[in-house]
Amino acid sequence: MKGARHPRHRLEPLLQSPVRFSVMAALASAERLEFRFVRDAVEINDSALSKQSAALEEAGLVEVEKGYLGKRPRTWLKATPKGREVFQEHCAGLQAIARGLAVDPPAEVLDRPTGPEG
Amino acid sequence: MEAAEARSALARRDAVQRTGRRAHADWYARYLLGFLGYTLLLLGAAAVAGSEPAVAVALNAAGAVVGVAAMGYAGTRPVVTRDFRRFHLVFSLGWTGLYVAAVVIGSVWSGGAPLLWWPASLAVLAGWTLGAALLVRRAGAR
Repeated sequence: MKGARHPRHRLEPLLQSPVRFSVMAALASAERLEFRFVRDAVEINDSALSKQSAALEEAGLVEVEKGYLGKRPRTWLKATPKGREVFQEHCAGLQAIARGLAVDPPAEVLDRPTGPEG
Repeated sequence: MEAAEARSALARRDAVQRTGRRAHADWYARYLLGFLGYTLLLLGAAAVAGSEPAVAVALNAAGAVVGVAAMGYAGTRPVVTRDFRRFHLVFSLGWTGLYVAAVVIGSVWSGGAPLLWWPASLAVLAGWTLGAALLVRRAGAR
């Protein structure tokens, strides 16, 4: 029965890492973010972000775009449609777990805000 | 994973997303302030030039170019929020439509009566300013 699954099954293993989860969180709320902004927002260094974004790109969750702004090279990160979907599903699982639910609730239950931040 | 860990992860998500929203809302706020400054300049020019239609058209055209360029520049900022390109398109097309309407009202419908150019131009500016304010509010609320 679909409704009887434990919400942990909705979690994406790749996003269990706090850094990868934070990177996806930043990207999910934006159209695209500059590499340096993500690095500062998630509070990691260039090489760690490079490594994690490569892992997310390999899984098809993130796109990495390289280009120039004037003469300066820039790298942009962007969540793919699949990445947004996976992140949303992962967060739905987290919300269910945070509420102490033993089984997957209907979608309308998860849509209710959990607090002032919603 | 336990409930406390899940809550902590969700709190981390909210904190990271707040940082991005704030960065982009800051840009919108600066853009709005710049545009309000331009509106004040236009009002000042209106007072000096009386009701000369050519001044209104020239200032509006310059404002349109500056405004659209500013929005384009916003697209190169470190944070580009979701739907920004759609906002930009709707905003630019809306402004262009209003501007064309003002020119038509000023030059054709009124038979070229200069007195109607300023109210029409200022109506366009008010619409654009209101649009910018709504963008700031929306960017901050998401």
